[in-house]
Amino acid sequence: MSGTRPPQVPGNGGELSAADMLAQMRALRRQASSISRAYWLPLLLFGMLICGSMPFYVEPRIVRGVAVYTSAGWQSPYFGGGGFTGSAWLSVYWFIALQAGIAASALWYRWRGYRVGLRTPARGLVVAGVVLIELALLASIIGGRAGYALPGDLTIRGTVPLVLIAVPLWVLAWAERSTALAVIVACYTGLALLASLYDVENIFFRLGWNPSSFGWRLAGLPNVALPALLLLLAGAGAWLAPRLRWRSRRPASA
Amino acid sequence: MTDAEHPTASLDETVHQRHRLGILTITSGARQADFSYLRDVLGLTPGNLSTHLTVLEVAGLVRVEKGYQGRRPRTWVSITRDGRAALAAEIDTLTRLARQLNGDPGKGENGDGR
Repeated sequence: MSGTRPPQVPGNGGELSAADMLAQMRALRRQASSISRAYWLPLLLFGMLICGSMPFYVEPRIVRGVAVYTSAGWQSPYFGGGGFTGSAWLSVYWFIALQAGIAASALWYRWRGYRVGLRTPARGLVVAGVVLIELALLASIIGGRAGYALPGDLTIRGTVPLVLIAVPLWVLAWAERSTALAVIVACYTGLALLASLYDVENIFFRLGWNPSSFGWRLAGLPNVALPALLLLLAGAGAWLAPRLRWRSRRPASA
Repeated sequence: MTDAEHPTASLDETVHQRHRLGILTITSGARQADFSYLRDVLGLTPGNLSTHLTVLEVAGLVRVEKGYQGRRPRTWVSITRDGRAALAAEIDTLTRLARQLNGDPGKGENGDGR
C-alpha cells in the first residue's frame, strides 16, 4: 500500500473502508434479526396453555378426611396423568395442548415470515415438538405394559408436560440465535424441574399463603402457576421491549 | 509485504460487491428473505436486485424460490452452504484488512489468525 490516500477497499458502486463494510454488515444483520424475532408469541401461548391446565390440577374434594384420586380415563405420566392430580382429563388436555402450541407457533412464524419478508428457521421447533410428543406417546403405550422410564418423583405432581415444553423452546432459542430467549428458557427449565420435584406451595406457605382456607384443594396450583407466570411475563416483556426501543429512538418532533 | 500476501488478494469479487455482500449477510441470519425486503433494505431497484441475485445464484451462493402467497407472487432467497462459507471468508478477510489498516496485524474476526 502506498500514497497518502485513506485506505479503501475496492467495491462496485462506491468505495467503503473494510471497517465501514463490516459495520454495515453488522447493522444489516442486527436489523434483520430484530425484525425476524418473534418468540414473544410462543412464550405467551405456552404460558396461557399452562394457565389453561390449572383447573385440572385442583385436587379432589376431601370427603371425611379421604381424598379420592381418580384413575379413570387415559392416564399417562408423560402428559401429567397418574400422579396426585384430581382430573381424569389432564393427560388428554396436555396431549392436545402441546400439539396445539407447536402447531400455533409454526403457523405464527409462517404468517409473520410472509408479513415482514424474513422467515425464521422455525422448522426445528416443529420437528422437536412433534418428535417429543410422539416419543412421549410411544413411551406411554410401552410404559403401560413394561413400566415407565421416568422416576416417580418427577411424575408424581403431574408436571412433566411443563418440562417437555422447555425442549421446543430451547430449539427456538437456537433457531433465533437469541441469548435473551436462552436465558428465559434456562430460568423456565429450572422452574419446571422445581415444580416437578418439589411442592412449591411450601414456599408460598412460608410466605404467608394458607392453602388450607380452600380445603387444600388449590395447594398444587403454585407448581403450575410459577412457570406459567414466568412465560407470560417474559412473553409480554419480549413484545414490549422492541416497541419501547423504537419509541425512544423516534425524534421528539415526530 | 508483497501483493500476494495482502488480504485484498483473497477477496472474492462475486461476494465482495457491497450489495451482494448485503444479500448474503441478511440471508445468513434468516431461513429465507423476501425479494421485496432485500430491495427495500438495500435500496435497490428490482432490476438491479435481480441482476445481483442472478450473479449469486449462478455462483451457487444463494437459492432463489418463486412461489405465491394467495395470488401474490413472492420470491424467496436463501443462502447455500457455499454462500455461508464465502461470507465467512469475506468477513475474515475484511477483518484482517481493517486491523492491518489500523496498524494491528493481529487475528481475524474468527480468532484463528488466518
